[in-house]
Amino acid sequence: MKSYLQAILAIAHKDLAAEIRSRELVSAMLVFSLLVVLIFNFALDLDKSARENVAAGVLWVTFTFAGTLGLNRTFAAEKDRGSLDGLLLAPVDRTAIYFGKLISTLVFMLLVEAVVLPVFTVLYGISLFNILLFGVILLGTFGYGGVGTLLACMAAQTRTRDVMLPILLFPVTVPVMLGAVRASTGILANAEWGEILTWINILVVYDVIFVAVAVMVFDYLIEE
Amino acid sequence: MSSSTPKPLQILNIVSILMFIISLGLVFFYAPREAVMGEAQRIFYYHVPSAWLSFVAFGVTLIAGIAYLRTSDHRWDRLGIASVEVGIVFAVMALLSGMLWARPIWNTWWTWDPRLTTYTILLLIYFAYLMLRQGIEDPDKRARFGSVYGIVGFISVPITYFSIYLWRTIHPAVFGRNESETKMSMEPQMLQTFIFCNIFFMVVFVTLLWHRFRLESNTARVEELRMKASNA
Amino acid sequence: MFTQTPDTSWYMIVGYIVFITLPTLFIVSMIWRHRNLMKDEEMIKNLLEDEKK
Repeated sequence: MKSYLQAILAIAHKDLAAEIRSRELVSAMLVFSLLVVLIFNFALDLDKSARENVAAGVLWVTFTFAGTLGLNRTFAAEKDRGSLDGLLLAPVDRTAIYFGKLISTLVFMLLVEAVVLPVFTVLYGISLFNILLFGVILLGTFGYGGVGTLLACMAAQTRTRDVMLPILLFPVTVPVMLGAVRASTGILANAEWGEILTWINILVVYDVIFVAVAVMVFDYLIEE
Repeated sequence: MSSSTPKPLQILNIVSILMFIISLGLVFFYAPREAVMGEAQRIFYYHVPSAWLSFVAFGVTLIAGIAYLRTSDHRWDRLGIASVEVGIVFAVMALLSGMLWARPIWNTWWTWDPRLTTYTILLLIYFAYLMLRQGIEDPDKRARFGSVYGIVGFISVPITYFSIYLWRTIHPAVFGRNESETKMSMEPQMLQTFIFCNIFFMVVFVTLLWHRFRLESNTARVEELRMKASNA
Repeated sequence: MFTQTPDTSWYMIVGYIVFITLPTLFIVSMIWRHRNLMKDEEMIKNLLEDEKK
């Protein structure tokens, strides 16, 4: 058990250390996120009341798009360097690779979200600093990253790679998107607690089911 | 197709064609015209079975996926891909015919109701399934990835449906469905026609699935031969 | 009161055209793929024969 946890942390640590050195991925995700936020503002030509209505939607579209950017790199980089084979030789359970990759993806996504939130607050004039909203963001990001890590591992091994991931991922993550957007909208609009809770429940159920399924099937994706 | 077509499949072919002709006769000449909706109601006799059989098809893919991962027997994977293709044909049929029915009855081609929305997402999942398989050359890997996506995709469907259902009940649809429009009075001839069409579609489903499975087996055989030729 | 049944036959006709066209296209595509496959098989078999000689 201890060595299993160590393996997970070692994999996550390896990715994070590489990122601290190069800062390639997170900076790309950040710039991309800010662009999406700006583009939405132009495209929807938002006035004050409209901004309040669409804020949660824009926020989550930004997160998911930035997320695909990060997810695409997690396994593609290993594939390019040929270091996936090295990982496979390590005498640990394969699911440790899944959790290690999941952790590094989550750290990248949460970092980007931590920067986007204050910028969004300033640009859209809506305070997003709400502990409940942070909880929803955490749950949504976890579900999205959980399925995303699984499917990114698949996409990285296909011919079309980067193009493949969103096509595989978006239709399967509709409940996460819907749940996260509805819960966030409810929180921002001070809706009734019961209504918000329903959506949080959906997020929790989704997260539990899909991470469990991902763990069960992950082995089959890296058999060589 | 080829001369080696097994006897049961030959019988299924003939039964399918006969049932097709009989079902058209029942739909157009035996079943009476529905008073409220008019002729468009006749779409329903083919629409409903194609919709539920597409679910059966994708369910078969789920089961075949699990079975393949457990046994590594490629026949399961062939069944999986065969079932996805047949399922997509049925699903597109159900979707298009549903729109053709909705236009005169609900006065719109499209509504964001849970069933319709989920169904469209479902269809996109299986298009993604086909694209995924196309992007992988190694047959073992293709089978494993296809199985995994067939499982993940099908499991997401009930949660998607439930979340969209909640979304729609909290935010009611722009126009309400009139009760008298959705409930139709089923006369005995209508019910008989409907039941017959359902059986007909089950037979067609099995027939098409079997043909598609055979095609996939042949493809695998030729693929193997090609490998042998390129290695020689 | 007598309520008139709307004339919706056009939708029904298009609907059944869809029901008939789509499976037909699928069957044609299967036959087409099968033909190509048989051609390929023939070709590869000939190739293997030639190599043996």
